[in-house]
Amino acid sequence: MTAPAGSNGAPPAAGAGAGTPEGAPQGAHSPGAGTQAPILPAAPAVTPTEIEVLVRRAGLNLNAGQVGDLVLTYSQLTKLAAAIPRQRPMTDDPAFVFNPLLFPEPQAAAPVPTPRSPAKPVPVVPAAPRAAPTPKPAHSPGTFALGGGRPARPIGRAALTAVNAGASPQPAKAAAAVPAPAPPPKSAAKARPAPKPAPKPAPKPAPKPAPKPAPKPAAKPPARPAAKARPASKPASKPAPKAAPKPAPKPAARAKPKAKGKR
Amino acid sequence: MSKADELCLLTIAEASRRLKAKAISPVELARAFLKRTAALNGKLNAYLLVTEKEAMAAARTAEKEIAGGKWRGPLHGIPLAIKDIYETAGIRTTAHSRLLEKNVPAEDAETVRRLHAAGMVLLGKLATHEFATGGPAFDLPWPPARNPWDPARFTGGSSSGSGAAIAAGMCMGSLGSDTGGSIRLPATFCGIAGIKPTAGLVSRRGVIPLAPSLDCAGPMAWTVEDCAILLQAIAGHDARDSASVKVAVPDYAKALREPVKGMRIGVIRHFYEQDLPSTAEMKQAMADSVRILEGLGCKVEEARTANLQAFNATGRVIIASEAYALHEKDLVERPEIYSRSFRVRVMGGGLLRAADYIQAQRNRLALMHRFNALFERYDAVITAGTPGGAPRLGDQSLDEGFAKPIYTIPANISAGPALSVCNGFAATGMPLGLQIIGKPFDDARMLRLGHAFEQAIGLRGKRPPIQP
Repeated sequence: MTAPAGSNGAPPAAGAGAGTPEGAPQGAHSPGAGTQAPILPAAPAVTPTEIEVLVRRAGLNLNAGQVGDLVLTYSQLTKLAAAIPRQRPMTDDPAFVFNPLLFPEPQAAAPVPTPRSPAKPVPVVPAAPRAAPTPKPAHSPGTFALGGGRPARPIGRAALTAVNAGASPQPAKAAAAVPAPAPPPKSAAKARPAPKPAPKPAPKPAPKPAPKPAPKPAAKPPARPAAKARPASKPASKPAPKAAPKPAPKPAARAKPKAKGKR
Repeated sequence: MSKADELCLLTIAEASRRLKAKAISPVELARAFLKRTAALNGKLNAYLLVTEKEAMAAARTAEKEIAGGKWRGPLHGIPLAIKDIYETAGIRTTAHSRLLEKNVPAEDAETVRRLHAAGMVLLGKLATHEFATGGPAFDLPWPPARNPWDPARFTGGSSSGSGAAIAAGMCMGSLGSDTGGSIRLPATFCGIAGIKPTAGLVSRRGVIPLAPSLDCAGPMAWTVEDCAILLQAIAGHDARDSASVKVAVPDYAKALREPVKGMRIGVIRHFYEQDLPSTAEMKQAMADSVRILEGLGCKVEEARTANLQAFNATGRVIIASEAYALHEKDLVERPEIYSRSFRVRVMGGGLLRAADYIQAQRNRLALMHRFNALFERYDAVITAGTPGGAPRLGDQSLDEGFAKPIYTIPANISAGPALSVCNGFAATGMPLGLQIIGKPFDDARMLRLGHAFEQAIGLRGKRPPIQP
């Protein structure tokens, strides 16, 4: 192993160990500052009376043993909560909800050279009529910062435009398609091909920065698996879930015979 | 060892080759697994339900199809079992809880549907920790799963039955779920492979949630190659999971064949040396792992990120808050229906303040950015899977996870893929594990590295000593 080099953040604060979040300069405002010291003092020990009040307000109806258990973990949990940094600028992120779409596109099969040049034939696809409705503005992903407040690398456009393009029109269709349990049995074998188109988009960006045709193929393949509904192999053992209005009696009847095999 | 038992110890990849070549039949394979399961489940409690009839029917269908030249792919005729938090149409799904003892879903989880489409033979439903949280509980209708390397020991959780069943050769692969490490912990303790895929890559529709902002569904199997085969079948956009991401799914099997030479790898040593010191055996196993990776031509250097406890505090507050919200009604109306272990871990979430939860979510983003910034410098980072080999069953304290952090939770916070691979054995004979973590949607590269590592370390020939 080479000499320690990759320190990607502040070194741990002195004494940082289990139970102590890493210290970083107070007031650091970058996204990387999520590890700064808490501004809340460690929560004081909770008394049984206080727990009683909290439990009542939560609407819980516990016996003495259950309250005892709760005291045990609640005190741990309050310590953990107190360890979470609070000194954060109000505007550090407009939406603190995790959004996986904001990640860079995976560099499919990254370092491997793959010096293919067949990227050319693909551009034939450009008759991209759907690309038009690309509602890009929705996400404005390019401005997202990764680590230490640095602006992120340009987000994989192929992926994002694909998402954006498909986002509005696709879901309705796909959602409707999924439950449809009437696929031709042979199609089962087709369920596999879905992944295959994936590798295509990868080589494209490398040889040719042709952004427009790229999104097309990426957007389509995923739609396919959704369209594949019920497998051919199962129908026999399955309860025609169509009888939606009467699901309760059927499963119940079935539950018994199945449960026999239990353990 | 009987021929049937030998069949049970095949990998998915190998069994698939033989099935395709018609050297073995799906019916023969399913029978072998059902027989072995019947003999071992009493010792390991890995299965909550064995679906023998359905399994045999699916095996017969697969046999006909393969004989007729309709080979669906590498999972056609392969015997799998599913963690019992995945809904299965017409098959009881309990989440290992009294609360759902009679729950029979009408529809399959999306991932289960995809596995059926790929031709799997579903052997049954596997043990978990109640609603995928808590620890091993002895006050539930079903006992906790036991570790096949030593039935007196813990399997890790919450995908406990999956870890035990795969290691013991009671199924070839499984689907687990991972909110704070529930795929990787049992994978490590049971000596198998398991990957928590990038959040959003695999649909969670029909998977009973624990903490929706962190939950991930993913595969577990004996080898990394088998995990790749399973992931291939289940990955991909699902319009009915609002967190599902529409990205192209790479060819994972192809990725395994690509070289790892030149990959840049960071070792997050402070997790297992300072933040939560591991055993000497685990430290040694990690040092050996580094040498193996260097031998494969990887450039390995030490990396640093936030303290492990920062990830743990954030993750625990989110999990307790979200899990409590999901179970609030029942915890208020009939708390006694849950196991003590579940109540202890979840009820505290009801007493936290909204500000605590929101601050945890804000901090999650900050930690996520910081952790993922590592991948500007590295292709992957590695760290230990657990502090050491599996402890004895029952040695877990109720506030486990609150009092001590776990090495797996950073990858739940960062949302990227995290693969667990066996990297040695403790003196007790219990497996140890290495985590390989990548940037979001770089799952293929983690599988490639894990596969190369697994081949190089050569531990896949060693199975638990347990016999029917």
